[in-house]
Amino acid sequence: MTISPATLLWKILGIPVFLVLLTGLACTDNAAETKTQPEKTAAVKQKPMASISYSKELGGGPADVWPDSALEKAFVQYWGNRFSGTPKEGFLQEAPYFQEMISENLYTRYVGNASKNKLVSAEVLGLDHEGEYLWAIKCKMLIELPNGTIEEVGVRDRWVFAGKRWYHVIQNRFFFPI
Amino acid sequence: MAGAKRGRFAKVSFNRRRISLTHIKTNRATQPVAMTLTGVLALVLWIGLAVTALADNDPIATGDGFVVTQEDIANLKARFPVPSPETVDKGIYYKKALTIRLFAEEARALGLGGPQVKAKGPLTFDEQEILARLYLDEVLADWTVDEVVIQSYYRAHPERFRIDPSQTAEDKGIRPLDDDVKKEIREYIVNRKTQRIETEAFEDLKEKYHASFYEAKKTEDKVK
Repeated sequence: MTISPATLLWKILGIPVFLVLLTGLACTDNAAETKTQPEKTAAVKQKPMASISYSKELGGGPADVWPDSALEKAFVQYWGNRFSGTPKEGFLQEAPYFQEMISENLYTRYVGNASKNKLVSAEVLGLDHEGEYLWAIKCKMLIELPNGTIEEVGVRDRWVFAGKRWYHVIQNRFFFPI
Repeated sequence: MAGAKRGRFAKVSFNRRRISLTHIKTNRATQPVAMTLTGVLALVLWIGLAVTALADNDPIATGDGFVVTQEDIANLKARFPVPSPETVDKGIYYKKALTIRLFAEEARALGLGGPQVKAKGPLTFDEQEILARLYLDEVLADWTVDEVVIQSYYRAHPERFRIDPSQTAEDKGIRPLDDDVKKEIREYIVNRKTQRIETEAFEDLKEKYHASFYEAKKTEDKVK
């Protein structure tokens, strides 16, 4: 019995080709799924701090605490950027004199490690009026370190109103002697 | 050999005059050697002087119409001595020398040193230093500081503008943000960032004059 070359070729290669095609389709599905995962991770990473809580001693809600709703919004956005690995956005929220005198490179090195941690919660304890346009926000932050431990950090966060908007004020004479 | 003729060299080489042993020594075997040694010594000395002169003129950077050499580096080191010069990275001196030259050339082009300097040929190191200073002062004086920058500094540091230091900010003993205070703040900010301003000016002029460091091919001291 004679067999044509085409038939012989199909018989020899048919099953392996089929298996390769089947495997390729399976990998494609996995690849598509894998591709979406980094995007989801990135989206979560860049998500700003959504909300903050208030100490019971403050009594009322945000409206009774903040002198200006724009300050609350700036505060939330700033600390969201601080822990999301976007130092450039954080730098742009620093006071204009700070941006003028300090290089963005130095600032990035200063805040760079914060993105390795996770801000679990931020509780506002109170606000102090330090100057006509200067406010200090006392808050307690719970930060999760890379090793999983939770650290409680007390922060006295200063903000200044200049040029029709709120800016963050860093006062760290060791890193920034200005 | 008996009967053999004396060759003409034999006739020339023998001096039949009665001479001293010393004279024999200098005139015979030692004279050519002494002359050769003297010549070699002179040659070595000349080469050494030439190499030294050339080393001083070894370029470390070039730009449009000028060359920065090792002599400029030597002048810089002499003008600004440091306790342990061997610990200072050479790149710092190279960059500073080029900075001085660029600033001096730009100052001259702007006429900051006067018409006589503008028309002058190569500048001495002293002249370069003076012109460079004039240029930097000009840059600092013209440096613009935004109003919001001044305002943000003033508002973020009320304690620094108290009329009476013993008073607190709540006592409103704070100097108003008038022209004098603005000037103070501006000068403070500019002084604090002089180094950055100088670096920015250096980069701008480096591009303008197409300046670049000359990498020595024969030595390992490469300027980064």
